[in-house]
Amino acid sequence: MKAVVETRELTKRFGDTYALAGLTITVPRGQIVGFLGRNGSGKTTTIKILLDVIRRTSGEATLLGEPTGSVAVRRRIGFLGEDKRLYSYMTVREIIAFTRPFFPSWRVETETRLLMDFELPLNRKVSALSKGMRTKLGLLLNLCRNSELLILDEPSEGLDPVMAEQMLQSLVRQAADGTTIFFSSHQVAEIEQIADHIIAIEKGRVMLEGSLDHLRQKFRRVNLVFDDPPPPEAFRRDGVDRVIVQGRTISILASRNVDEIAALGPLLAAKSVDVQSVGLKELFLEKVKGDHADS
Amino acid sequence: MPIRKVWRESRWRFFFILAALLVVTGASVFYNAKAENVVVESKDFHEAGERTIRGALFRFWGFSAMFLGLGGFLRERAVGTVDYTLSLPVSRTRWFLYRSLIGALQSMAAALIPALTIPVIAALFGGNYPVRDAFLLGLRLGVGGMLYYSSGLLVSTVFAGDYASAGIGIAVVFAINNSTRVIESLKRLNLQDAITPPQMIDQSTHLIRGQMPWSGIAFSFALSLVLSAWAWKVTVARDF
Repeated sequence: MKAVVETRELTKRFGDTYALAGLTITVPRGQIVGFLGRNGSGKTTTIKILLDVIRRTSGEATLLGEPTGSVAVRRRIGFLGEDKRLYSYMTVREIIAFTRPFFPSWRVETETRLLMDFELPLNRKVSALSKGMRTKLGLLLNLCRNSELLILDEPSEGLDPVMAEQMLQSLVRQAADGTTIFFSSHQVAEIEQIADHIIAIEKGRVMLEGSLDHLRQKFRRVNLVFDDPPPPEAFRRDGVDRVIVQGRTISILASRNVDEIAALGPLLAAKSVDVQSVGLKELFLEKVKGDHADS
Repeated sequence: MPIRKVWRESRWRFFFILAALLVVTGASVFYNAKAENVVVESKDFHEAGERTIRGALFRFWGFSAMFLGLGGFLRERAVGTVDYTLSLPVSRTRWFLYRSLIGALQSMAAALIPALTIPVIAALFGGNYPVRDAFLLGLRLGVGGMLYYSSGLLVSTVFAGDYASAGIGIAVVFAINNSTRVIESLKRLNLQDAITPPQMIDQSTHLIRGQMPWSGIAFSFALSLVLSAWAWKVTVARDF
């Protein structure tokens, strides 16, 4: 499976601050990839480097196998920014007419369908559109391109739940047509809803990466209850990501050797051992906490 | 398509500046020719035309050309559209080229059109001012004064914010004009003298005489190309 986005040891420094600190990611073709991270984790910086809006300090980045900044590649991608700002002085009709000629594979039938579905007023100025309407217009301008890759930065930011759902469903439909979707968000729920693959970052580094199914299967929480808990070091072993002691309970987040860890319970006189699956939100929060504990 | 965008984003500023320069030109011609009394001779308009182009029009056009150079990606970043613009399949160099060329043409038009209205105003009031003189003086102003335009182009690629770049641009125009008028060692670099040297004007007829010296114009224009190239380098390299 060929990657559509690849970065290797990507760094970006603003003054003394590193927004990206050696980011290495791979976005597989044909998937919906959720780019998860807290505010300020480096998501927008990564996207801006991919679009060549800002320049990397070091490392490598490619889009569809070409270096970022290639004009030819930009003909094959779409982009919708967080605040969905478009040229305010143009009408809806004018901005569609302006954008269309840049993209040889523009799908006129999709344009006609989306204009009807989204109920966009053709003669209204972009400046007079609500954020929801601007999002619809931005989606239209991107979905008609028949692009191989669609990059979206916090696409549901500022949208009401109905509009956010409509937008997510549009992305799912587009992915079904073969477009790779790479979208950033700090909303775990929406990533869990539509993404096939997750890349979670924190402080400009990858914290978690893999297919959603794989991550769900891989991670387990083992809760052990003791009369007299043993020291947490007793559970430090390969595959253990985090050990939390709360009173008589020890909670372990593990990605490997779950059976071995659970088997330690009876050996250490645990009163009960409970193995649970872990949701993405819980996993993300644990990883963020772990990252902060490490630093 | 990029040309249309650049034109649409700059056209109202251009029309406003052009209208303001036409008003300034008209007022200056009227003031210098005392045309409001309609007691004029052609030579009054000759003097008025020359004084207007070399005086009021030169001064106001310098600031106007600087304003026509403002804009670009930093301005787009401030209004939030730069991500969309840079995600389109057009290189930064091409965007810069279109912006700088359209701005340069607007600056040229803002010099030529007001200059060419002087013969029209003169004719309307029964006098005359040679179209050839108006055209040549306007052309020299547009080409030689391109330095003002490229100063605007450069400050708007280096300094973010409309007010910051405009303020610095105004300061640059003031500095260019005044330092070369006041500081003895810089006087030979005075742009006004380079564009319209006093010796090229016949003091009795107030019309152009003999061959026009183009070296000052060429030097000023070459300098403006250097500033434009600098602005291009900054545009291609910087983060938005």
